[in-house]
Amino acid sequence: MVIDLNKITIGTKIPELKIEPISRTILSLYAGASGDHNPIHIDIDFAKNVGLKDVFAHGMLVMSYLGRAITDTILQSRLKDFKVRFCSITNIGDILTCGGKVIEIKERNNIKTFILELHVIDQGGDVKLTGIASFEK
Amino acid sequence: MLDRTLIGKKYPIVEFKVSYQRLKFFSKATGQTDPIYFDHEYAKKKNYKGVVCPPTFLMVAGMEQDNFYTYLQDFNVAINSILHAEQEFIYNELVYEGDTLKIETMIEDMFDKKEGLLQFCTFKSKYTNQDNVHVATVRFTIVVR
Repeated sequence: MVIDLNKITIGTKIPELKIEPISRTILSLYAGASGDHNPIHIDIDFAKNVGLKDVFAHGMLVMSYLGRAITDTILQSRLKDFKVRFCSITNIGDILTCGGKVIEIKERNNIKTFILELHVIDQGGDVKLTGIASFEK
Repeated sequence: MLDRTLIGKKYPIVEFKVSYQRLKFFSKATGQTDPIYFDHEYAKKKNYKGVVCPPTFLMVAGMEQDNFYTYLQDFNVAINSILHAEQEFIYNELVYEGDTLKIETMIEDMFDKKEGLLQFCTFKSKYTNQDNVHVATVRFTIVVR
């Protein structure tokens, strides 16, 4: 549901988006769809050969989920900047939750800019990424 | 230590045509639920030029080159020693199915943290569409362990 921009104040949250558990199927589909064929995300033999227990999710997949949480709430055409810092690896089976809240509202030349602070956490509360987005009205 | 003389290096320009099929595949893989990201008729009804590229789709176009990981040769590091550290998209205009993007990428910066233990490199890409409109700027930062 798209949020009413007139009702946004500092502290307004975007609805949490909970993602189905990360599976090998999802990682294979994302590798194909995104063009990122790095074997570390799709080939368990490769991962083991370089000393990892298993493959792990593409950071951009996790950022894409967060993007969904934003565009579920705000028209994409209003989104001006979207940046994240990847904090920890997302493993197979992790259940991610995306969320965020408005931390600043600026107004200049009749254009309002809203700054969103964002995060993605897993089932244990481990932070996968943090981010900032800005959108305009 | 990464070779800092590479700062400013430009990579060959990549052209990428946003096909409906690829966009639909990406939307499926990332679990998009809003039909503007996969339903042509619905997007038109909502007054969009066509199916809309979701916010992170631009990275797909950036990956689409003979070997996205060419920079690993520049740095002389193995693929398993890098991690994606940061990502930024700055949007000017929406990108749609059917658009042809021109992507110009350069090494914008290199820096280190923890007394050189972690080395970072930021790539900056300028995305222009077929009408020569600068639609977005993308920053992609990796860390070498």
